[in-house]
Amino acid sequence: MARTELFNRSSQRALPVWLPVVVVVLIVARVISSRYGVKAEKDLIRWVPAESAARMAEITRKPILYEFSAEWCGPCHRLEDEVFRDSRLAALINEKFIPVKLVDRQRETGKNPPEVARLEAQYRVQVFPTVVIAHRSNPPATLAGYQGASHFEKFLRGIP
Amino acid sequence: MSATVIMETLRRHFAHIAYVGAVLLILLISTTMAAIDAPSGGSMEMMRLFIVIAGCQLIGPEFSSGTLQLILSKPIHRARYLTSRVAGVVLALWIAIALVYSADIIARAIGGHEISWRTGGGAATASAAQAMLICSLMALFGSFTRSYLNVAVYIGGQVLLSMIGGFLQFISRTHQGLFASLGEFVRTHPGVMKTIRTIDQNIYPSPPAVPFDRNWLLLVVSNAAAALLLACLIFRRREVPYGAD
Repeated sequence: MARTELFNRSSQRALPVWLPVVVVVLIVARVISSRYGVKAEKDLIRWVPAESAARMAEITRKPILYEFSAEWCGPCHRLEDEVFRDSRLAALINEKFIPVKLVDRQRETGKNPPEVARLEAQYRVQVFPTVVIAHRSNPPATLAGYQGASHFEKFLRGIP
Repeated sequence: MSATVIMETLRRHFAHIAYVGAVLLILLISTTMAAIDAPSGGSMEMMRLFIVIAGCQLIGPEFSSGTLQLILSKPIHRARYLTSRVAGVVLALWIAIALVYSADIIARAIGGHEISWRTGGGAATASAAQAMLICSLMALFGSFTRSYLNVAVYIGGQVLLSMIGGFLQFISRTHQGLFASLGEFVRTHPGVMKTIRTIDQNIYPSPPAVPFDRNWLLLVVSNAAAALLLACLIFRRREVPYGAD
């Protein structure tokens, strides 16, 4: 009886039909839209200084995501534009990892800051961009070069 | 929706000294902040508090003043009444938001500061969407609680979710002692923490990182609509005793 009364227009306790329709439409739109990120004007990653990353990783038990890039490197700018400015992928990185950005200055100044030089040697960085996921209990996972946002997302989601 | 209820709600707001006073105060603060070139959209948190205070009066005072009994004694659908009340309060809040952000722009223009249309507009849109969500949640909580308890449920829920989230984070790092087995459970079931985080983000969404973030706006508006639907469903069965608060 309560069910028939729900949409019975003559009843004062009836529910307007448009309301559940609007809810369903909005939820469907939300689900579809959430598959595609929104592009920001600037980088959305909450980068952590290299010196404090290890301590933060220990506290939060999250792996560190090292991004090795260089100012002159075109694919690095594409990575920044397509991944780090994308609200959905940026949220994924901020949630799963401790992100650390390391910019190589070898070409511009002839030498790198000590921390950058040490990490580049440790992870044997040969090309830019290179992304290394370092976890204390697993061997590091490396992605050299940039092959598009979907490939990058697949790599990130593959990290346990 | 009922135009009479919406107009009456709007009239009551604009005739209420507290509403007018609060809008003037936020206008003054927003103008001062803009005059010293403080970041655009800085008054968003203050606006959120104002929305909570305005929204909590959606149902409670209706019982004590008897307007609910009077309106429901005429042939008007309960859901229509509730949605109109929410629409009226949201409209009153949207007018306040428009005034505040207009004042921000005018003050910046007079002061010769740079006007960030995108940041300011994004913050205003986010505030407007938040007004919809908070008012719908206040209607939902008010549909089963008495008087101003809806605001207690809203703020209490936020505090509780933060505490649970913090506690789970703490025990997830515990390997020995009293919480060792609980810590092990949380570590092996990451879905528990994810669920708490999802509930928190859906009911109390933080401001969006990107102005006019389509996904954020859809999340807020769809949750507002769902909350309003639930409020209407509960309000259908609500008894309306006189002087209930």
